[in-house]
Amino acid sequence: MRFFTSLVLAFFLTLGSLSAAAASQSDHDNSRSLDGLTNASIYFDVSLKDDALLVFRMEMVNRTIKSMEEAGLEVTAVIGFRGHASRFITDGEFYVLDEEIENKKKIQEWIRRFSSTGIVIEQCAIAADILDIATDDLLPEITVVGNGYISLVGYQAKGYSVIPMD
Amino acid sequence: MIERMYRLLPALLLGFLLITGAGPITANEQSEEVSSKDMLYVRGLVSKVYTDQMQISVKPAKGDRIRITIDPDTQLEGVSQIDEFAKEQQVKVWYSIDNGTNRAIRIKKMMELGC
Repeated sequence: MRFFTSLVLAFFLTLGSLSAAAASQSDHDNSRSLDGLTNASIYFDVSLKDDALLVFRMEMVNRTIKSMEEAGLEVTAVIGFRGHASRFITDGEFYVLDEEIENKKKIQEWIRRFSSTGIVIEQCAIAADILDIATDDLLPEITVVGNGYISLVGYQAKGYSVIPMD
Repeated sequence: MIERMYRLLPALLLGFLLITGAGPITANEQSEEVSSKDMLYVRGLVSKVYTDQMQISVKPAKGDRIRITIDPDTQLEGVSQIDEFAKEQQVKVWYSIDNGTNRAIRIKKMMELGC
């Protein structure tokens, strides 16, 4: 039994090291676009309504920031929520359909992770009002702004690159 | 002087009508989005459409889903027939309970404003 366990463990360790080696040997990077840059400011404009796609996009936000940091850049990021995406950054299981609850939990977890690393997360008050979302029901990590469009303009004027996620 | 007052009279009357007319409309809009003795109100997301049973299921922000029956007398706004309802649409529903059935009096589909 112990031999079998060791065998399985060895198999997965080998598989892991092989895939890590393959990843490090990848020729795909962004060195040309990032050449000469030392920092980057990004505004992620999130307005998706599909819960599964929103989870995937949260993973992409994380991957994008991580990859840029690994490339030696200092990254400042803001994630702005508006539209139906707003429903998923509320507390508990409210504002979503029963079948969306599992993905909402994943999104809530991403919000906590992003916030703990210093990423600013904003919610448009107009969008919350249109969707009848009480701002008190938003996660504590969220900063409510008067108008998400104005935030977008402001950050862009300050040199932030906008990544639309609609 | 009197002639000038006569000339201003239509404008003054129009202003008076606008001011007095705005009051009841605002009050009506505010009072209609609440449940009363005769009519219940719910706002939420369409969670399922049962075209064959002429029913939609509505999930309020907080609370359980409510199955609503649409009949020929139901006043529809934003849609003209049941199959135009879709999952995740925001709706406002006014309904009454008739023999255990939630019978829709009025359903208003909210606009997708995208902001």
